[in-house]
Amino acid sequence: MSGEVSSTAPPRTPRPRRRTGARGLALGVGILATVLLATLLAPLYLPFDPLEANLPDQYLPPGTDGHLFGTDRSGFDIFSRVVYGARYDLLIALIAIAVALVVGVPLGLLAGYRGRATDTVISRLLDVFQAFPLLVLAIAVLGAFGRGIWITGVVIGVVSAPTFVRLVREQTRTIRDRMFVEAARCSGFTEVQIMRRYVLPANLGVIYTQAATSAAWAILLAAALGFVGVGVPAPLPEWGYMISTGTEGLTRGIWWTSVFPGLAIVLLALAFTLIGESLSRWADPRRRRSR
Amino acid sequence: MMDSRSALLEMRDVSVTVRGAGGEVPVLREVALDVGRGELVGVVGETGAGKSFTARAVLGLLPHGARRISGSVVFDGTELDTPRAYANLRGTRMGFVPQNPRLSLDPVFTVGSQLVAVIRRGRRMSRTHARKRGVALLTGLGVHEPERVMRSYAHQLSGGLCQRVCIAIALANDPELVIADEPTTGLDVTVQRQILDLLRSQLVRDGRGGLLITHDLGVIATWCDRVAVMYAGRVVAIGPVADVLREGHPYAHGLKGIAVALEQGVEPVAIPGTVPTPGDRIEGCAFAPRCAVATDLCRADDPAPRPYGDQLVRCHHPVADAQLPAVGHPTRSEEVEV
Amino acid sequence: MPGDPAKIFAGSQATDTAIAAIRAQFGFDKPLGVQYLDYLAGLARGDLGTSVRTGHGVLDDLTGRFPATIELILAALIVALAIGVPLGVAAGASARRGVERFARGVSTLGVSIPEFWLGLLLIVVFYSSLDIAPAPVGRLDIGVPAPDGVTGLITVDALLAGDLEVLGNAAGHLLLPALALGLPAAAPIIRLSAEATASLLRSDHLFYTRAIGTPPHVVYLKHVLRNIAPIVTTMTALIFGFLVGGAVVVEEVFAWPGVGLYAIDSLHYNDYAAVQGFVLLAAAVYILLFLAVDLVNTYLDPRKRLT
Repeated sequence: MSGEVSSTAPPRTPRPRRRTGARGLALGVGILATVLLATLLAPLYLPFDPLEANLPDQYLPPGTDGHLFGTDRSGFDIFSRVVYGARYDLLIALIAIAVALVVGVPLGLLAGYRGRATDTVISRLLDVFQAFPLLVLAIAVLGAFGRGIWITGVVIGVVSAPTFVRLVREQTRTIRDRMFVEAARCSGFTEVQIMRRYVLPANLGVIYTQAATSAAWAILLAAALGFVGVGVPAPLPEWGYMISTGTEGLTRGIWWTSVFPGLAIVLLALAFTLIGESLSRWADPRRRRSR
Repeated sequence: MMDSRSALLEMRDVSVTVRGAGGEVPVLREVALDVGRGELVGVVGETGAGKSFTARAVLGLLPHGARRISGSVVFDGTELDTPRAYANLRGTRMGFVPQNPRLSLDPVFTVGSQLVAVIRRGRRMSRTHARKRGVALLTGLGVHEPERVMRSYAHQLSGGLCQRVCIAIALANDPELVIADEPTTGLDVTVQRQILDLLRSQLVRDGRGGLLITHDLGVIATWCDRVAVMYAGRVVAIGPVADVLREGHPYAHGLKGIAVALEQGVEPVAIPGTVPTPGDRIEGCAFAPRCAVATDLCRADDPAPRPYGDQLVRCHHPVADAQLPAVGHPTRSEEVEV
Repeated sequence: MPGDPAKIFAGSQATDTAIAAIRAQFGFDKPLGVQYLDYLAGLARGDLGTSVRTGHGVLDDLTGRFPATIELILAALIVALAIGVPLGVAAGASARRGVERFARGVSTLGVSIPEFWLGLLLIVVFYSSLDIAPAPVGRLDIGVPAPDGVTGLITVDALLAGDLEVLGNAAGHLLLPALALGLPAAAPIIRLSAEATASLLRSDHLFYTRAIGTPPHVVYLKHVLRNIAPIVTTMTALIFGFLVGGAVVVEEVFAWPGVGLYAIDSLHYNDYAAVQGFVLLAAAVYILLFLAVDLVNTYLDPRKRLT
């Protein structure tokens, strides 16, 4: 045939622009900053000691005698404990993310950059690891190693690491063969230098996004562990543990002991989720999860 | 010109906009064309000229974010202004042949089940009966082993075979109008010829109308009766194929030059400049910046359609055959790639 | 390791000789490495060891409790899919911003709510306050006999036996835990099916399907659902991991006698054989599920079939 006017396909409708997610980011960061400030400045303004039991004041409903959220079985002021509790859950999330990054990112870089045998070994390990549901694994490990803030954070970090390995590996594979990496390789940079200067920066968007999302998971996981009694030891005001002790009066209509710590969990997890979602849209608006 | 009473399809000044980054962007601007019974009308233009939007506007299936802001589509005397008006039209009185048949047939159903569904939508009959009719249709379109084809999925068939299935689907309910959107893109030349011969014979034989959208002037010259040339969302010339390509709108003439050059194996002379993309600010005639005969009038005033012989052209200075430089020979020193 | 299971098992009044005897019985007196090798040897024979808490074989304990967990997870899966898929398809198909925003909001909130806390909220509202749900203990009211049946899923067995009274009772007990577990799981399903639908609606074949006159309800109920089915089965497998984990805490909240509750109770008794058995069971179920999903997807997507 002759006379091709043009050989490309007819026009596609431009896809409507996605929102940049600035509002979600602002909301998430706002919540996080408020929680952080509230819990750090807690000693300055809280009228009750979160670790001071007062049995005669057991199960006071919210609003009685200055107990904003009421009191629990031991007469602990729930508001104080919820505010203080943020420290432990935030600390656990921080430790977990740090561990997940330290373990996951190098492995992902290595698997993605080296490929071949290294990649195969790391990928198979991932498959085996991911056959175990996260929470189940964390419960089993903590059951064996005992309880505490640090060990909880480390365990959550370890079970979160595979996600980082997988994401960083995929991203690294896509940029490995690009021109600038090739050029760097030819000009005699060592592997570590190339990774630090070229490969790692290209991964940062993915890493930040996943860090925020994993922080939300860490909060939820820490709460679940506290709830089943293998997380932070009593009587520290960890939210999951508070909910678990609070369930005792539940069927008698004492709801405030478990509802308020739960709201705190939702609020903090929501903040991290919002930040993660906004970052993912900012990092790559076309990022799609498909098979 | 067709007598408007006997026109099967008429688009009257249809304008369509798309919601874009900077507001509403026009993609069709007062598109007017008509298709009579027993004729095949071609729509030709470069990428971005609005060909596919024209097909979609006729089908009443504009994509998300696009909307018809004015004008009307009249089919057999009925104005198609609401989704309801289209309800029993598509697949029955209005057939459609897609651009990429292998990607257009639903990959998770057999092509036979899709053909059967269309047949049964046209008239009530049992599945077995519809299947028989489907096999007969495919046989009539020169498909060998129609039973096996019916049981296959699109990915198991060649592009040409898929296109025959799509033509069978388009013709299943004896439609009065068939719209074909680049039906032969991606098919090799022999298959392309077969498909277009098939389409044309099926249409003209039974007095049906056809709208053939393509970017290939050769296809238009060989198979169409009339042609509408689109440029920047407008129909700039419409009329009998030979007339439009011979004289009238300078753009149509330029296209013809390229086509002829390619046919003769000569380096074609590209029309200088580039096509405006939707959203570009257009003052006066959209083609003026690239036009050899443009004047100040062209740059200031957008020409309304006016008769020129048997054509209707949007041009202030339609050119007669004699006035134009001979086609196929370079006339400018700077040559731009097509 | 914290706590000595033999001491716990023997009770606080036990003599040292009694504890030593128990140690010998369970093999706790051997070095840890030897204990582990013994365990692996048993595993190869299909023996998961003996629970110090119940005194039964771990495998028997797990098989007896497994149907309760499966019933809970399946019910939660139904809840998650029944809410997630329609909402996701609607969000993906709607041209209106509001629908998309609503679905995104719901799914953002959904991933931020702990299942066990949602379970507690449901108990507070539907049991403590409104008193329309049964007491959050177990799978049936006390005194209601469990139906004989092959599946071990009380609702299914009752249905098969035609016992509507037991069915109603069992369904009542199942509803709140299934909601607590299933609602948060709907969040990722909403998101993924919305994305799948949106990209499907931009595809050539869906445009063609409409262009040849397929009525809208057929487009959505037949073509869209059938096209996103492989994606839905894949995400079902992905959220299954979350459901297994979530089931542990939800079973704790509702005293649901499944393997999760068994694992947590065993944990409090330092009953490691039981906990390990549970972890292995969860992993085995997970692997089998992924295998099943691959098979189902091969069936659902003709392009993956070998011809």
